[in-house]
Amino acid sequence: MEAYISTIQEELECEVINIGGVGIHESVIVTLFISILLLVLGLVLTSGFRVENPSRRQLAVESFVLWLQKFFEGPLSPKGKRYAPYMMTIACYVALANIFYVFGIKPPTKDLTVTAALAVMSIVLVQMAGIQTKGVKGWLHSFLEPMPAMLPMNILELFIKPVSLCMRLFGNVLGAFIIMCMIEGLVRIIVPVPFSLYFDFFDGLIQVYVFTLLTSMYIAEAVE
Amino acid sequence: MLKFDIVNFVCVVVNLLVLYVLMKKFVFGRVTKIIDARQALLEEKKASVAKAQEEADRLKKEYQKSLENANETSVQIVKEAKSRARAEYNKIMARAAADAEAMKAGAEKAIATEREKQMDELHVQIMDLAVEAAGRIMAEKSSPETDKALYDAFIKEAGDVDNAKNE
Repeated sequence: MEAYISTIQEELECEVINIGGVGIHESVIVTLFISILLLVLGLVLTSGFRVENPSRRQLAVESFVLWLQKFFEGPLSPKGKRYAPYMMTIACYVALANIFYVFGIKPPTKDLTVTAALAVMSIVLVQMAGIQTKGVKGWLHSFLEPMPAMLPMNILELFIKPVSLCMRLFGNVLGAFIIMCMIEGLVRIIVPVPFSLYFDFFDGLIQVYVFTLLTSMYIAEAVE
Repeated sequence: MLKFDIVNFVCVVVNLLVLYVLMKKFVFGRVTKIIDARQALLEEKKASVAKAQEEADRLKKEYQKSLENANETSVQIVKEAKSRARAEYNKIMARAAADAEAMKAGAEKAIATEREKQMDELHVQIMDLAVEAAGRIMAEKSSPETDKALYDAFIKEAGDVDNAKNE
């Protein structure tokens, strides 16, 4: 039992690699790897595209991209349509990150730093979208809506939104990771498969859905 | 795990921003460009098809119209020909009737003339007879027998003339 607990604790530790006197988290390296993987995949899959007589690969990629685009343009509303590519990138990125445990690599989204970065970027994007559509004055005025008394709530929301986004993603992935570690500590073959399907794929992708959909809705709200 | 590290935070943010820019430009941008180009091509094709359809419709209408015109013209021609034929027929019939009438009149006139001529001849013969009879009466002695005989002879001759004329 002692050994079991210590293995799980070991698994939970974030490895820190020292590069030039700066401690770089293992998760940062993994996200970099995910980014490169995404880019290479994207470039390879979209190479040799033709306008006429598209290949089956092209059709598949096109329909996937279109599906993703439609998926985000819905909640983004017509005004926030131009932020769809960002949401698409984030969706692919977080989806890969969440299911990375399947390849035996600790999911980077179980590191608070990574989810915090994602959430802060989301909220910065939301505020930028608000400023871009309404101008600085309109953006500042939106804090007084629907009534001036809501000002403290609106300012609080500015912090609550990213924190909730960050913590939700972090907590879910971490929870799934801990459970998977525990199961794998008990039985190493076959039994973890259905659990992995649920915790890594289902829960992982649900969290992508929740994260991106919430961000899209915040953007739509900001540009309204 | 629960440690927040600003250096790593900045690393992730920069990493994500670069990823976003590259993905937008080279992956999604490429796909969107291709899809837009195809859409444009489709629109163009659709427009050309619509144009061709319109042209075909126009031609069809024109053709139908000309066909209708031809129908009308042919009906007109037949009508005209019929009326002309009727007029011609009427004219010919009228002429034939007039000719027949004229011929009939001519024949009747000829018959009347002939008859008059015969009558004249008859008169002359009767007169001759009368003169001859008168001469005979003058020459012969007159008696009731001779008178009677004379009269009979006259009647007979006159009857002969009548008969001859009737024959």
